[in-house]
Amino acid sequence: MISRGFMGRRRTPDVEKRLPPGQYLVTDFPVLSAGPTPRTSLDKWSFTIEGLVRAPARWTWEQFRALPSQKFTVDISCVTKWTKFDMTWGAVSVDTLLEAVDVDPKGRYAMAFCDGGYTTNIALDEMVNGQAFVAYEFDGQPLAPEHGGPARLVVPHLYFWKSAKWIRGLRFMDENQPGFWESLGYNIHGDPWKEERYSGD
Amino acid sequence: MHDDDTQHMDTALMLDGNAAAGELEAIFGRDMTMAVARCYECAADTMIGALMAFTRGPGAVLCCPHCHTSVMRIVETPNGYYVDVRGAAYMRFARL
Repeated sequence: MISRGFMGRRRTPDVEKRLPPGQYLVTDFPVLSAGPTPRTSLDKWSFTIEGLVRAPARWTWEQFRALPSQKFTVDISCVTKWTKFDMTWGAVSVDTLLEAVDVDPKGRYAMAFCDGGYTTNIALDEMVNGQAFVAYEFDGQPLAPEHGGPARLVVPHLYFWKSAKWIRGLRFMDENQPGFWESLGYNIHGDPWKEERYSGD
Repeated sequence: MHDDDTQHMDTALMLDGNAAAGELEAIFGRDMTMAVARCYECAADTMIGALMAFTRGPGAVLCCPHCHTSVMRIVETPNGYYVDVRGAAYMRFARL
């Protein structure tokens, strides 16, 4: 792969320090999809937390947008080796969403599920305390469909395939079941700093 | 307007199964683009070269052009190729 990062930008010590191993820096926002871009109208959209919870919670788009929101500025690393610094999202923190449910102590893992059928698994303790959010804005604009709009999960400390586009909910589970890419050779966890790209890494 | 943008983006990102021809030939040792895959979901028969292909991701996803079900997923890793054909009822190959 030709890397624009190496040619277009000097790698200062500061950049070096922020760039996980094996990654190159980009300034654009590459679009990667595992299927056609779904078109769910906002009046049919909902976000659900279900599975191992005392009672499921569900928000319509209006209810979701009325939740307290935050700006998050984070670095993002994709397993296809690009990293983009300082991406700013408008989002609802997963902490805020979890206030509406009582997660069973056995529900230590979640499967994010999406329009179009995509799934990805994340441990509960990697989504709390501001580590993950459901974003509906990027750079101050509504999140474009090709980037996962109306809403996508963002888990910045893991490879970007964990940041499920077109998310519709989280299902809590008692075991760490693999999602769409994790079940086909990709790492169950996906920490860019440990280069957990493939299963067995 | 939004829909137009989306439509445009769908087409921009989407290739056909020929985009995976090289990788498939490396795996199966023969040209696969003329092999027919029957979609497990809607039973449509499509030549692999005519499936919808999404290759700009961690792996390649080939989808049924009729119902958009994922018919085949291919991932190349240092440990080898993973090929998931759960979305195909069968694949039919011409006799060589």
